[in-house]
Formats: sequence, structure tokens, C-alpha cells
Amino acid sequence: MSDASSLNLLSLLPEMLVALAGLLVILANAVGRDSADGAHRWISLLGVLSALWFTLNPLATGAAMSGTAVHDGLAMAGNTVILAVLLLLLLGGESYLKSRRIPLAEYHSLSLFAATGMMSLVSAGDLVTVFMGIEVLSISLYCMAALLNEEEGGREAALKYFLTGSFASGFLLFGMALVFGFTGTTNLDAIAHSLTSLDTDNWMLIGGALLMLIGFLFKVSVAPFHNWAPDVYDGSPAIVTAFMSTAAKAAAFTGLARVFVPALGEAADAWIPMLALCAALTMILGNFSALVQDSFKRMLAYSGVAHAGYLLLGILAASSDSAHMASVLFYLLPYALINGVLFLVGAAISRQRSGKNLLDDFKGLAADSPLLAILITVCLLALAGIPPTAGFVGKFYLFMGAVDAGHVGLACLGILTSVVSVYFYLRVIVYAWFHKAPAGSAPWTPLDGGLVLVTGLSALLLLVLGVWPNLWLSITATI
Amino acid sequence: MKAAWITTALLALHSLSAARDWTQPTLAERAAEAAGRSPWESAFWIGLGLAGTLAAMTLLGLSLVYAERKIAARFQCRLGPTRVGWRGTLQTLADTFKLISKADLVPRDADRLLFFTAPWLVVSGMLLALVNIPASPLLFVVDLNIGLLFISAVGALSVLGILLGGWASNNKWSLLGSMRAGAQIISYELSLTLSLLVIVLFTGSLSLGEIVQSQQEGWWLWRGHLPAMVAFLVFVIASTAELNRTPFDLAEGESELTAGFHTEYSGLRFALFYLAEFLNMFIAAGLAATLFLGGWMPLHIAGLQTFNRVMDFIPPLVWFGLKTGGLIFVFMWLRWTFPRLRIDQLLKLEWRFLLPLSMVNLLVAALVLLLGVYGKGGPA
Amino acid sequence: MRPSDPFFYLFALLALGLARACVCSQHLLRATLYLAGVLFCGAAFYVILDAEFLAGIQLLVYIGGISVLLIFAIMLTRGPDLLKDRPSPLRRNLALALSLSFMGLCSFLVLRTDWPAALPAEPHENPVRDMGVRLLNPGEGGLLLPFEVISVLLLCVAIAAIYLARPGSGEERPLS
Repeated sequence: MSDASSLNLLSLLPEMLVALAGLLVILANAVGRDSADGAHRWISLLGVLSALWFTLNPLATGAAMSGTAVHDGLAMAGNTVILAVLLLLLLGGESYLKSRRIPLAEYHSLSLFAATGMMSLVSAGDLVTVFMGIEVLSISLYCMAALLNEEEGGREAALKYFLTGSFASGFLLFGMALVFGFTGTTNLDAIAHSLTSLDTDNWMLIGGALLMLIGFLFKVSVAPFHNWAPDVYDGSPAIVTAFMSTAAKAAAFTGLARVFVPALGEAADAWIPMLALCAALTMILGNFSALVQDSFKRMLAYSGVAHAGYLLLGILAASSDSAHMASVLFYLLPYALINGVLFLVGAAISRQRSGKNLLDDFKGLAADSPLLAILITVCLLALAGIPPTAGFVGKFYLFMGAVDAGHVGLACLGILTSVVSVYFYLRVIVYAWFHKAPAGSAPWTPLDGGLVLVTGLSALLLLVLGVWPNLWLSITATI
Repeated sequence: MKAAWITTALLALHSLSAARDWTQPTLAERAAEAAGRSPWESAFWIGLGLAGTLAAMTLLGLSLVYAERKIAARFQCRLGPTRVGWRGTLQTLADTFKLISKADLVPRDADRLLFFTAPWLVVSGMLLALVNIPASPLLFVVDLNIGLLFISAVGALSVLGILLGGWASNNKWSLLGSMRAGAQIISYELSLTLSLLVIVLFTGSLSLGEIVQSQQEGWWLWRGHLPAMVAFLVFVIASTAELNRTPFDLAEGESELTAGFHTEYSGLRFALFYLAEFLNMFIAAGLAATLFLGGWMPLHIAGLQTFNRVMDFIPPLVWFGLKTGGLIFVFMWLRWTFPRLRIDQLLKLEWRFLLPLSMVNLLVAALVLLLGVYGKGGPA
Repeated sequence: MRPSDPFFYLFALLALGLARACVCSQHLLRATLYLAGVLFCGAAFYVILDAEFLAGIQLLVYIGGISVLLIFAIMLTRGPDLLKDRPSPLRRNLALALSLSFMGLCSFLVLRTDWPAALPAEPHENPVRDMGVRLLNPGEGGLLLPFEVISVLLLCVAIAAIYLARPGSGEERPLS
């Protein structure tokens, strides 16, 4: 840990670049009015690319602003995932934004501000920063979910997201207050330090930790707090769903890891049973609910819930040996890329067929566009965890970590439910390759080039990481 | 106990004489100090504060209404009240008795609970603000260390009362009037607070007592240079709007809404609304005098020893009265001179002009403070 | 027993009663008034705890801001006969059980805790100034970064509010 009292502004450069890009988007909109539509995208791209560059090649690391932010390996990995998703959506989402007439300035600025919040959450060194980061990302996402509020389900999704989200924030804040009351500090390092000397068998601490945990579990949609996720994912614009199910989840998971593993690690006895129970429940409920879905978006939503359960296994492992944190961070990147791509591509394909995001829309895809069918197959296989994709490696590390930490039963449950999940992922693949398009469907028009490009790149990355996991593991393991 | 009576008598005399010692304890401080010694003395000071505030409220209410009527008459080439008492001075007292003895009407479909609560909310908001106003070093009930914040905060009670009163009357004019009043007060609250912050910036304190003390070397209106003058103007305009007085009286424009939110009120409850309106004007003027014109501090001009000495002989209460009275006259002058604004003009004035102006002004004030170019003797 | 104790119990009782009235009222606007009362009691608690600044902020934000906003929203959206539908007995009992269990949890936490790190009560010469300095201090113990993040938050809220309120983004258009 570097000098805690130093300002260390340079380490905050990625956050500042993203926030600056968001401000410039608003300004461009104010100055250029309607003629600035292209500018939003270019400003965002420039901001995200430069932030990504400075994340991977940081000018400075360590604690910044008297320890309210810490740029370590965890922050670096988390920021990379968030920025990668943002980049993916910027490159591949243009046609979606145009076709659904989503207001560009609002979309771009809010997504950049949401990313600012996520990045402050990921690199938070203080409970206050954690909370502010979560609030910024949540508020932006509430509004982004309502960007198409005239459509059926749009308002419902936004309102549901808002209500459950603010409920979760309440839990989180109350828990933070109790932990602050117990330790007398909000700084994460100081909390960890004070817990080594205090008696952790204290109800205020346990209550605080559990309430905070509930808040976080709401945000990452872990059962039994997952009920909002399918409705919200279904009702929001696909590009927003792609963003909130990936980047927001990655940020919340990194924040959860940051608050619980290092800071409240001494009190692990208090929260591990609840986390283990939730993980088991999530894996079962998520996978079995996904089996019976007809909507592609809802299927992916439940699969996302199930994956949150797998990721919780990683957190459980990390609580006994923090080296296992790398497995959580490793899996976040392939998970985020696949979901980001699948929501976008699914919306584009569905648009040509029923327009309702049904699984049936994938029927006959291979005949119309073999390349896209191959790419989607790779993504779905990776999500199911089949080698040689990064999904397999990621799940392997997660389950291995759980076994190492002594949660053998949970690891077995994870493997079993993964086998169940193969069914619903394969269903899409089978529809795409072995079914004919429904009679009377419109002729196929090729998808937007940018979308195919990011899908291809993601599929390629999944395969590369599946074979050489060290490319990304070496970054996540530097914690 | 005897000492308390004597102190009170001295206090009354003292407030009229030239007080050289400007750091007297407030009534609340006296009560707190006496609490350990004798609870009765403590209770005495608290009671004195309450009684004084109520007396001040009554007297101010009576005289302000009389002044408004007389001044309005002058502006309109009339005489105003002349019959009751010497030159009509007892007219408002007579009107008060008339109001209190009137039948207390409640509309049949009104929400009785809210209808009865609303005027008391408005009055309690006004009273809570009134006790913070330092009228002289001795006539000062409470000096909260968050004084300014407190005054803007309890203003919220008045807004609440106006909104609920208008709604509970179950009358569309009342409803429209209260909505207009609420929207207007909330909008102008922004620039009002921003102009207050300029002075907070200069003094580094929210306590009204300290703000007055900080003006020993000169009033902030002069010492604060341009930002303080701009803030003063913004404050006067915004508080006129907060008070719903012409030219910002859309909320009760009689030609449009009969009487706005208190259309359905009569008798005592109407009197309470009416009283609160006038006392709020006094509070706004008193606040402006305290923040920008040195409160009860006498006028000093650097270098003129004799002049300053003479000024010191005028009692602080008179200084405060003169400044506040002058500002109240300005409010009345505005009322009887300008025509009413339209709603779009009113909103444009706030959001397009006053708010950006006061934001820039606050920045300039911060710059002035940083560069240290405001008048000498400021806080370190 | 400290001199402030009777006031604490007075306001606590008042807050409880008002909170119950707020939840059970069939009348939306009255419920708002009761809510404002509960929030006012919160400000009173802050005063009892010698946190005058927080009390002022509570009044300013919650009564001047939130309550007034709620009243505006009710006045603009609904007629006088509000909340005609009474909640079903199942929902009422469920809500009661849920809130009682949360109360139980809180009381349990408070009663079972042996408050270890009670903060030393440092007298503050000028608490408002200390608070401001701490919020804007990039150095030790300062919270400048979260403070800056708040500005991003407020910007997001402003954009979101303007977008959602803009005519054309909803079904109903404003009258003007």
C-alpha cells in the first residue's frame, strides 16, 4: 500500500476520462442539437478507449484521495471488464440504437456516468465511496431502463428496477451504518484493521454485515432476491439489458468482494453460511427456471441469475484464501462479453422474426446466416462451460476454488446444475441449426457489420482465452 | 429571582441606550447558564423569550398592517384609515377584534383536519424563524450556530401549510393559488439561498449573532464589493417573490383567483394567514438588514472619528428598526408600483436570470474571498 | 436521567404514532402530512443528540423538499378520493409481520450489542465548518472523492428527470 495521505490523482485517470466523455456528450448535444448524433458515439468511443488504455497501462496505482479509492489489481480487472462491455456496446449497438430510436445523447451520457459509478465502486476504499458508486450506477440504470417507456413493459421494468433497487440501497445503507457504529470508521482498510483487535462475535457487526450482504445480493440478483431481474431484463431495451446484466453485475460483484473479503474477512463466520445458502439456492432456482422459458431474454436473465450463483462460489473460496479472487475476476470477463453480445444479437435476430425475443426466432438461423450461427454457438457453448472455451476454464477455476475452500457439496451442486443448464443453451443451438424458419417469415437481411464484428471478436476471445487462459489470468492474479 | 427582575428592567433600559458592550448573552444562553443554578430563573428567561416574541409578533402585526394601508393610500392619493384612534392608528386593532369575533366557516366538503392544521403550520414556521432575528445585542432570543440554515429550513413549514391549506379547502381557486405559491416559493428559494451563501462565505458562520459581529468594521454591502451588492439585490427580489407580494402575487391575484390559497378561510384562521404574511415580510427585511446592512451595528465611516462616536450614541434597536423599516418600505413601494408578472415571465426571471446570476455571483464571491480583496477586518 | 430524556420519549412516542397513522391512513395527502411529522420528529432527535446542523438539513431536505414534492405529485396526479382499494387481510397481516420482524431484528441488535467502539465525543468548536472541511479535504480523513461522485450522481438525476418529464417521452402530454 502506497502513502495513504497522498492525492494520487493520476490513478483516477480512467474514471475521470469516462466522466469527462459523459460531460462532453451533454455539451455536444447542447451545442450541436440534432446534428451531433454521430459525435456522441465518437466522443464516447474516444473516452472509453483512452480510459481502457490507462487502465491497462496505469500511470499510477495504489491508494488515492486519502484511501477513499484504491487502484489495485482488483480495480484494474474490474475496470477492464466494465470498459470492455462499454466498448462492445458502442461498436455493436449503433444499429439497435438507431432502429429503436433511443435518444442518443441521453443513452451515451447516462451509460458513461453509470460506468463512472461502477468504476468508483470497483476501486472504492471507503464505504462512502462504495455507496456513492452504487447509487450513481443504479440511478443511471433506472433511467436507462426507462429510455423506451412508451413500449409495453418499459415503464413496468423501470419502476420495478427502481423500487427493488432503492429497497436494496436502504438495506445496504443500514448495514453500513451498523458496521460504522461497530468499528468507528468507514475506511475499508481501517475496518479490517480494527476487526483484528475487536471481538467479532458481536450482534451489531453480524447484523450490519448481513444487511449489507442482502443489499449487495439484491443488486447482483441472487436468489431469493432475484425476482426483479427477469422482468427488468425483459422490459428494458436490449442494449440496456446488455449493459446492466454485465457491467453492473461485474461492478457489484467486485464491490461485494472488496467489502466482504478484505474488510469484513475477520467476521467471515457471520456471513459465510448465508452466502453459501444463497449460492446453492441461486444455482438451483436460476437453472431450473431457465429451463421453462420461451423468451430468449428471460432465459438469459435466469441464466444470469444462475451465473451469479457460480460467482458466489468464487467469493466463498476467496474468503478462505484471497488468491481465489482471481477466479471470480477471470470469469467476469467471458461472462460479461457473452451476455453483452447475446442480448444485442438476440434483439437483432428477433427483430427480423417475431420481434418478441422468443426462442423460436432462432429457428433456421444457420440457413440464413451460417457465420452468425457459428458465432452464437461458440458463445452459448462458452456460457454452458464446454471446453475449449473460456467459459469452461472460468467455471473450472470457480469450482476448484470452492473445493479448495472446503465447500465440496456446493461445488458438486454447481457442476450438476451446469449440466442442467446445457439443456437450455443447447436448445437455442438446436433451433438454429436443425430447425427450419417458420413459414411466411420475412427474407433475411444481413445484420449490421459492427454487431457481427464484435460478436466475432468476442467468440474469438472466448476461444483464445479458453486455450491460453493466462493472457487474462495474469492480470487478475496480480492482486 | 430578584436579580432576574432587575436584569430585565435594566435590559429594557439598556436596549434603548447606547450599548457599548456588543457581546451580550442571548436569552437562551441566559436560560442555559441559569439552569444549573436555579431552574426558576431559567424558566423565567425562557418565559420572557416566549412572551417577548409573542408581544413582538402582535405589535409588529398591528403596526405593519397599519403601515401598509397608510403607505398604499399615499401611493394612490388617498388618506387611508383615519377614524379609529389618532389618525386611524387603532384601525387594525379594531379589525383584529372584528376578525376574531366573526363566524368560523368551514366549507362542507373540506378536509377538516388539514384545513385546521394548515394555518398553524404557517404561523409556527414564521415564529420559529422570528426568534432567530437579532434586534439588538440584548433583544435576541436564540443564537443558533446554524441560524441561517434554520431560518431557511423552517420556511418549509410555511410552504407545507400553504399547500395543505389550499388543497384542504376543496376549492379550485384555493388549489390553484396554493400550487402557484408553492411552485413560486420553491423556485425562488434557490436564488435566495445562493445569495445568503455569499454572506456565509464572507463570515464563515451561519450564526446570525456572529454575522452581525463580523460587520463591526463595516457593512457587508460595502465590504463585500460587487458580489455582496448583487447578492443583496437578488435577495430583495427573491424574497419579494417568496412573500408572494406584488409583482409576484400570482398566487393570490384577486382578479384571477379571488384570494388564492386562503379564499375559504375566515375568522381567526384567516387572521393567522394574514399575520404570517406580514411577519414574514418583517423577517425577510430583518434578515436583509442583518446580513447586508450590519444588523443593529451603527453606521461607521472609516476615518471619521467624531461621526462614528455620534453614531454610536444611537441605540442598536433604533439602528435595526431604521434599516428594517427602510427595507419594509421598499417592499411596499415595489408592491404599489409594479404590475403583476405573468407566470412565464416569473419563471423565466428565476430560472433564466436570477439563478445563473446568483451562481456566478457565488463563484465571484469565492474568488474575492480567496484573493482577499474584500474590506479589511474580515475573519481570518 | 438527563434533562433531554423526557423530550426524547415524547418525540419517540409522537414519531411512532405518526408513523402508524401514515402507514394506515386511507388518505394519501394526510399520510404525507403524517410522514412530514415523522420526519420532523427525526429532526428533533438530531437536536437532542446535539447535531443541530443535521436537524436543519433534515428539515430543509425532507420537509421542504421531499414532503412538498410528494404533495405536489399527489395534487397533480390524483383526485380527492384516494386509496379506495383496501389492502386484503393477507397483505395487511404479511406487512404487519414483516415490519414487526424488522423491528424485532433492530431491537435485538440494539439490546444484544455491547457497543464496543463508542466514538469519543470530541467537542467541536464549529461543527458546520469541520464538516465542510472534512467533505472537501483530499487529505487524511477527508471525503473529497465521494463528494465529487455526488456531483456525477446529481447530474445523472437531472438528466433522468428532464428526459422522463419531457413531453413526448410519455403517453400523456402536458396540457400546455
